[in-house]
Amino acid sequence: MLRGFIFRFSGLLVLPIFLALGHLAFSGWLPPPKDLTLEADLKLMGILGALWVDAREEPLFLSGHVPGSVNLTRKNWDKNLPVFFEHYGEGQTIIVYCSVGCHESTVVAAKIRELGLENVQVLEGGYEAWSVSRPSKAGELRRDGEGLKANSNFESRNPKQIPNLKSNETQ
Amino acid sequence: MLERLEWGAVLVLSGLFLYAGVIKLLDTDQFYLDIQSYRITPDELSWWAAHYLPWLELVAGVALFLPKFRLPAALIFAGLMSVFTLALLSAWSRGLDISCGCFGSSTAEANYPWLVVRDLGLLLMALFLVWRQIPPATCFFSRRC
Repeated sequence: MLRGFIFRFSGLLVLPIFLALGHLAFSGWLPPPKDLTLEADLKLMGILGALWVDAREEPLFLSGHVPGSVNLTRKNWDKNLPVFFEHYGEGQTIIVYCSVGCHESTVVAAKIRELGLENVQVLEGGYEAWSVSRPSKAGELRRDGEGLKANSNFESRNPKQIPNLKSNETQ
Repeated sequence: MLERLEWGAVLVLSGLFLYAGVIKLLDTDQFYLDIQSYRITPDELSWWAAHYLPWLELVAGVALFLPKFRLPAALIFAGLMSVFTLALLSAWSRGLDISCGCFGSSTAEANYPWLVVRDLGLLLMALFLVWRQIPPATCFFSRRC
């Protein structure tokens, strides 16, 4: 009885490993995240010189954010908009992020678009996507991208344009 | 009566886990990000978990219908629900603003009290199934049962 139970229990735990490996092999093997230098990718996407906007609540912003980012939410919009414009340079790309799975970045990006600024993007995967792309060891991050690293899945979570915001421009 | 409850628990747990497994398999990248948002596991472990857990949920969901596999499957469900509940409590205690990732991608923020209650309910169901399936202690070391 005990032997049979152990056999069946192990089988249920091991079978998914083979299924997962088969699934990976079938769908095109993607290696687990590895630290790859992302400087080139960041330059390619033109986000090294971008202005980052953190659309999360202030306590979360204070507990950690993309270096150089400005905290701008619907709640503190009036208070922090002048700070945003202090940092903003003509024609600069703006990348808005919040937490993974949240909506606030899209809302804030739409509001920025309404101000007449066109090059606004939303970071897919939010702050978590960015934070998993930074060096795992503690170290200073620099705005020029040196020292920034990411895993190989970053491409699927890169900033994307928000086409549905075009309707805001026509209003 | 208990037998009906047992079948009810089997249907609810299997249905939920089969659904959750399929949804997660359809977008393992999103599930990987959901795991990462808990900030508990390192990148590589999250990546493997994002590919392994959906299959485990599917396999255990099917196994729950097979009488001989019901006990190990119920134990796996109990283990999974314990881990999910602890992860939720950990995220809640740290004030993380996340979507739970329980059923694939969701734009809704985590409603922690509801999620914890739901997970505890599922954990109780899994433990009920374990209790119903577990044989007398003497059977474990005997071939007679």
